[in-house]
Amino acid sequence: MASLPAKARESRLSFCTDMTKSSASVIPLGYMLEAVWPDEARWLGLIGRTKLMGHELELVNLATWPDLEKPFTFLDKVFDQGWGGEWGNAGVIAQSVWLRSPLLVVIDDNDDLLKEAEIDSEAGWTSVTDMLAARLTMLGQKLRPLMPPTPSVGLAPIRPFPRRADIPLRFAPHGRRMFEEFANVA
Amino acid sequence: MWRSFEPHVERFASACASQAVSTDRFSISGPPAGGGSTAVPVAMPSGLAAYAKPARAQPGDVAREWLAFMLGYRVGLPLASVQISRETANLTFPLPPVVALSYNMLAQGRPFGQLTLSPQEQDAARPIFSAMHAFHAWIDDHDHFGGANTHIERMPDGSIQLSFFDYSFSLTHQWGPPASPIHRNEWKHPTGPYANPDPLVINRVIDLIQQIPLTDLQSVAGTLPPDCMSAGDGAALAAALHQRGQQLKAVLT
Repeated sequence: MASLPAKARESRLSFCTDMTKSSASVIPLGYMLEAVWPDEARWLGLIGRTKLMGHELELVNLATWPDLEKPFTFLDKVFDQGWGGEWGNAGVIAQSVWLRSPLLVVIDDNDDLLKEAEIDSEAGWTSVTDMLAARLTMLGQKLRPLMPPTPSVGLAPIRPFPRRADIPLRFAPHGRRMFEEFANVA
Repeated sequence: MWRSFEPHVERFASACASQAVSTDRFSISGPPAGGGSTAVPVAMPSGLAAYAKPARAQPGDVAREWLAFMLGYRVGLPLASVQISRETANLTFPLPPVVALSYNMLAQGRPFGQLTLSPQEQDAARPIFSAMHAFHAWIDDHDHFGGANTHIERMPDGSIQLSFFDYSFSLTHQWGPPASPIHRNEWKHPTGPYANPDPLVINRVIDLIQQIPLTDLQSVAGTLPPDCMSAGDGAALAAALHQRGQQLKAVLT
């Protein structure tokens, strides 16, 4: 049984296209979900877009942010920065590394997610990580590209909302490592 | 010569230098940022974006942020524009009664350490870092070593823009009047992007600093409202800065 309360944090990652203007478009990029059982176990997951739409890339200064041509590779780096830091602070570390930059990191606590979580057995851990993966997938469904601008000349054609297939997602669970290390301790 | 911001950003910087206190009612546009939750993003009615600092009351922070900007602007250096604001009532996030508004200067600036520069870009950045090295030694800044609190942006024409922000850890935060010793190792042996500074640029910046009359420094410090810095502290700081400016060449050249 965990001796200290478990904590869960969700970090929304997005890219502001002009930090000098308060009304600038913001491009959704991904989510990190972190669950921590203090001194026992940690789980960190990332879900994110693997490409931006053409009209979104037009808003990005690719000379400075070339990695946004492959946004998930960039997000993976943010994930590694968070995983390498203090438990529970993956989002805070991302905020600190990318302070005042266009990479916006908004963190929300969601401890209720772990209220019924039981990690004292392999089956329990599997159940919890499946739940966390499902939560991350649900968050990923919120990742919609920016709506393309309406043409200013002539009648604006009706554009269909981008299909899910236009936003390929990858899920990269990294959390199981930590539990497996604990399980090997005599 | 060391500033190259977009025209709308530069115009506003000029306005900030002329008007220390902003009376614009701003709104909170996001949660606190930074490991210590020291800054809150805000939206100005003008459409500009800034960070209100500090998020928690820290005596002197507002004065240091604003003074550093004014001094840097006087010398022509690319510091983030700052204004003082008391428009902190009835916001969706509680702020101290007085804050510094630190404006964002680059549209998509990237933290300096998170971008690999070509040798040509390093050469282009060297004069700016050299100039900032002299300035940081003058105001005894402690928060920009190694490229911290610095953003860089590559422009479509191949040039680079740099912006330096967050000056809470400067001026009297680390020393009080009379001026503390300037012979610190960080100034004599700079490292990281400040390593190998251009001596011509160093001398030029020091000349500009030394050309600022004591009366001008007193006037700038005296502009601060008394709830940001007392008149006595302001006068003492001006004297210390003036004295420190005269010592720079012996340390840096």
